[in-house]
Amino acid sequence: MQIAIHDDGSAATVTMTGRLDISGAEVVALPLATLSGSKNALFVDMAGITFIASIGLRHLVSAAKAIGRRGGRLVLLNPNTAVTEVITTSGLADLLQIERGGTPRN
Amino acid sequence: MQAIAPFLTGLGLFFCGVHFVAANLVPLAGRRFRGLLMRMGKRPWMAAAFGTAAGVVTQSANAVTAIIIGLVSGGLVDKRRSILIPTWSHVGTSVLVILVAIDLRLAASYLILLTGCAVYFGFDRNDRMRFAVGTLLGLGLLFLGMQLIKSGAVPLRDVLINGGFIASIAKARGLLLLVGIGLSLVCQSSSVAGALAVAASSAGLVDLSGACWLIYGANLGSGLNFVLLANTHRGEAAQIALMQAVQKFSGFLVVIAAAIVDELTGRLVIENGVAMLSHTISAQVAWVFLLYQLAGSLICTAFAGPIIALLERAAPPSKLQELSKPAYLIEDALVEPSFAIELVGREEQRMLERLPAMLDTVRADVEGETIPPATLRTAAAAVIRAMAGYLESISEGRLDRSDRERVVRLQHRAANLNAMHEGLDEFVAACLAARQWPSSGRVADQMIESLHALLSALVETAAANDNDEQEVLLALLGHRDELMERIRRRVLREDPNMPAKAQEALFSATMLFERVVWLARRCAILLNPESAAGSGEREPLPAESTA
Repeated sequence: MQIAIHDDGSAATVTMTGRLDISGAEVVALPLATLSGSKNALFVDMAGITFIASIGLRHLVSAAKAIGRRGGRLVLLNPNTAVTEVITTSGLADLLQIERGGTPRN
Repeated sequence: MQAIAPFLTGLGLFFCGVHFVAANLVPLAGRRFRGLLMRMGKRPWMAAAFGTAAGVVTQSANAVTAIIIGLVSGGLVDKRRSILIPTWSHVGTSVLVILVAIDLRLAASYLILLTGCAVYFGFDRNDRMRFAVGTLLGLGLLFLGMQLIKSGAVPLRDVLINGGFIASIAKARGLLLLVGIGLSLVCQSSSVAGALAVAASSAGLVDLSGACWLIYGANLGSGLNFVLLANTHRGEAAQIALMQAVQKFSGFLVVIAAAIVDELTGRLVIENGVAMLSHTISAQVAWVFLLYQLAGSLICTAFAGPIIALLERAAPPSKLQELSKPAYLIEDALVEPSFAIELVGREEQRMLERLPAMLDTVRADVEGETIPPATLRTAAAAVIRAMAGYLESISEGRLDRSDRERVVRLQHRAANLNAMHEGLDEFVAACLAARQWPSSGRVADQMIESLHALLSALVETAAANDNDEQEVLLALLGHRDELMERIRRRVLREDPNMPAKAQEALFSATMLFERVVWLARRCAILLNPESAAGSGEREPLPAESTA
């Protein structure tokens, strides 16, 4: 799992590439927790994620709840079909907002 | 042949009598017996008293051992508390041997008259009376059989003595030991073999020393029986059976010690000892049998801790047995119902925490050991059964209104939890079938990860006991019927060549996914119904009994 962070003041974009499994989740856990605790908007570019496991979902949910409690939002950008279906089947489509397109909207 | 006919008749009546007593007395004692059995054993002396009584009632240490194995395997009694009960039942079975030493001709006559009248005039119409009449008839046949054995052995003795057979066997201790072992292995009972030894000594077939070696052999044979029984079980069941073997072999250690003293002092310790207790040879033989059982049981009780530790290493529990044991259902806590209810809640939380692990064997992303879902399901069913029994015990006491409501909710939650384990086991099997085809396999993999995330969220929310978290959880656990239908249609549209078996597996897996999510939602509502009511959820209907 590789992760790149673009800090934009009150917002941030996290670009993930690889598998969001147990080992991938270990890489993203701390950055997600830190950013969700300090930013008003967090955009997670999921285009490079090939597989998402239960633990990856839980980290995203934790980040979404944390940022939501502060009135902010977490948006998942361009997840592939398989990842989208896992999110939908888990009932997380309302909690984890999904957007498609080139540029994240603040 | 005519000379031994009375002996053989007596033997047949004796066996019939033993069987009738055991078969009728245990149901007569009924559920109360099992209930008492579950409560006894808190102290060694209680285990000793109850084990002895159980041996007297059943006249079979094998039967008591089998009952305790069943209760321990079912998680209804703790092994450490109950393992001494069958150990002391051997003392209770000595009653049979003692009765043989007594002249019971008159008692046999009265008993058979009484039962004959009861049967003829129809007094045995209901179950309890039938069992009581059966027990008395068994006792009558037993006493009659013993008397016939004793009187029938006299002509048999004459035949054997004239043939020189008795003279050669009666002095061969080793041969008598082997005969005793053989009798016990054939009769599956040391007390039956012991009773025959008493009858043989009474008829003059063997002297006191010879009868003693028959009894020692009978007990060694019984020990071997229990070793063979232990081989057919694993874990705690094997440990309980092996403890009975230890009881038998411990008694023989005392015999060896006495034999060493005999050699050193030139005096017969055991024979001289029982001669002081009684004047008749048959009573002396009965004493030897009783003292053998007492010696073995006392040694096992005194050294119970180290013996149990050794047995636990010799017959370690299987994974299933480990997982099937409740951790929090403490008998002593039943005196304080509120605390006991809390303990059930903790046990429930422990079972909830196992739910995500039901999916581990089909997930790609798992660390550590995985346990087959069928094993987890069986183990959960055992623990939930124990929870149900524990809750029943709580509800028999005096409870205030709020505690009674908590008990009822826990009973519903336990049934729901059991249904979740069953559903997850079936879901895993359906997903494995769906994986035989790529398109249905992809859907199965997605559902597996989704369900694992949902179950993990359920476990975390249950532990947190937070209303906000519960609201989020209920939102996640919404109905999935439309979503699953859309998925099924999309997959069939995109893959028109999917074979029928794969379609069936896809249908089954998606239906089971819906069911498990529905059960999880019900679980979430039952965990905190006040909060669920506040967020607009309906009060759930009573759960179906699935535990």
